[in-house]
Amino acid sequence: MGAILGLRCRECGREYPAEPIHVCEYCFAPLEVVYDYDEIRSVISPKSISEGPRSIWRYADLLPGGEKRVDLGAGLTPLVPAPRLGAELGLHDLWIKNDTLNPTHSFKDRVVSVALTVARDFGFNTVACASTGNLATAVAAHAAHAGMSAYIFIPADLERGKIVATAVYGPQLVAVQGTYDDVNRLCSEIAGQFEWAFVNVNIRPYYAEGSKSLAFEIAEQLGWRAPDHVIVPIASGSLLTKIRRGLDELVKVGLLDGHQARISGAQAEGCSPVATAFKAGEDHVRPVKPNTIAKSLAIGNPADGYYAIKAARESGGVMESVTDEEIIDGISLLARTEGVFTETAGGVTIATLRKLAERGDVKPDERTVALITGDGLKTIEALVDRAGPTMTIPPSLDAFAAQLESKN
Amino acid sequence: MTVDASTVREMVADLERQHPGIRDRICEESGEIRRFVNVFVGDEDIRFLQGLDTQIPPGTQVSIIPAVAGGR
Ligand SMILES: Cc1ncc(COP(=O)(O)O)c(C=O)c1O
Ligand SMILES: [Zn+2]
Repeated sequence: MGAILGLRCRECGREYPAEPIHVCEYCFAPLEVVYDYDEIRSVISPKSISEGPRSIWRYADLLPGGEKRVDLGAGLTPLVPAPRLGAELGLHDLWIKNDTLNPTHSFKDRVVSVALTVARDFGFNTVACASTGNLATAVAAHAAHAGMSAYIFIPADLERGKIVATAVYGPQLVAVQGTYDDVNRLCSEIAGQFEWAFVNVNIRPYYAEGSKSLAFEIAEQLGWRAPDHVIVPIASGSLLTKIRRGLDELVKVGLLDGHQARISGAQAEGCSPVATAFKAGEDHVRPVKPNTIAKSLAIGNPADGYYAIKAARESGGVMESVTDEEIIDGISLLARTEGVFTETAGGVTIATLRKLAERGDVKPDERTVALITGDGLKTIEALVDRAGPTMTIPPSLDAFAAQLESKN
Repeated sequence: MTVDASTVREMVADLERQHPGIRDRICEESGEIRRFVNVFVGDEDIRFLQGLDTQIPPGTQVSIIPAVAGGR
């Protein structure tokens, strides 16, 4: 393992050695990785980072995992200004973090690169996961790259593209007839029976740390400055929680003087248990049965919902949910204005951003970063009725001229 | 197992009588149910009923389940 000290219970604070465990034996709360920030502070600097690998591993000091990495090159994706989208939304300092540009085209490559590195450190040869799609693809690819066996459990009704893009890497791909929450419950039973590294069960404390790299990169790409506001799509709520933790850690190790970033959450109305609890002023999430085109975010019983609500609230952020119609509009809007094609999860982010901007919850002059966490080619089903040829003609110049005429 | 109780609060007390030490696993020092322990009366999470004051009709099944047992 890297320089981590061990694990600590997020509720009662009991400490545990760095092992493949994820729950506090005493109070059943989740465990989190512990670092020696003073030690890290003494070795880390903008220079040490810029001289590191062009992947998430440039931040290795703040991630678990040893030197023998499972690295397909996840991370260091573009952070680009989005002036045309900003103009549409009345925002003057809007940025897009384009995480479609990862090895398997979603931010899940970040968490999986960490999870499989740690799994191999622990001596596992077989990895497994429950997935809403993107995690499945990322695990399959990284397992293939590392020569590990993979068992991947998905809801049977996932998008075709995600099934094909996972199966091609040769894992055992198990389509379960049920929702993600059914798959997840099944996996926690399977995890008790088999000695596998389940990235989102017994490896979860390590796996989740990978998401911090998004926060690290945003700060580095802004010249070691924190943004004012980050808009984050929510499934389990882990990503949102870790964006905040990542920024907090940069302060702890001296890479930021401080930060006041507001972290806001985005969900689809057809699966918005976290946003619903947030808006009701509650901190307990009531599970729902998902029904939305944003399948990658369709977790009805989100494990980190409580922590996501806490992170959003404490940071001064908000949460909102959007309809499937608004999600599709969001996908089109981002593509037309900025040339970035996102899957439905990014549509959720953009549609939520639009709603928050209209309402003044995202302020015009805030330096705002929208996380675009997955590629549009993963969910073309959502757009097939909306995006097609603008004219269909026989191969003749006259036909083209005539059509052009009639259009103008 | 069977307990003699008409509310969740009484159930916890009776459990503690039968198995000393169990209350500490289920409840915070304040007496509230721990954040990552779910208590269901029938199929309903007591957080969305009346919490510790939730009534338990005679013969009703109560389940006490660590939240993470449902997977993550
Ligand atoms: C594309 C995409 N964005 C965002 C998320 C949300 O991640 P989390 O479960 O950490 O909230 C997911 C999760 O599957 C995802 O696939
Ligand atoms: Zn604990």
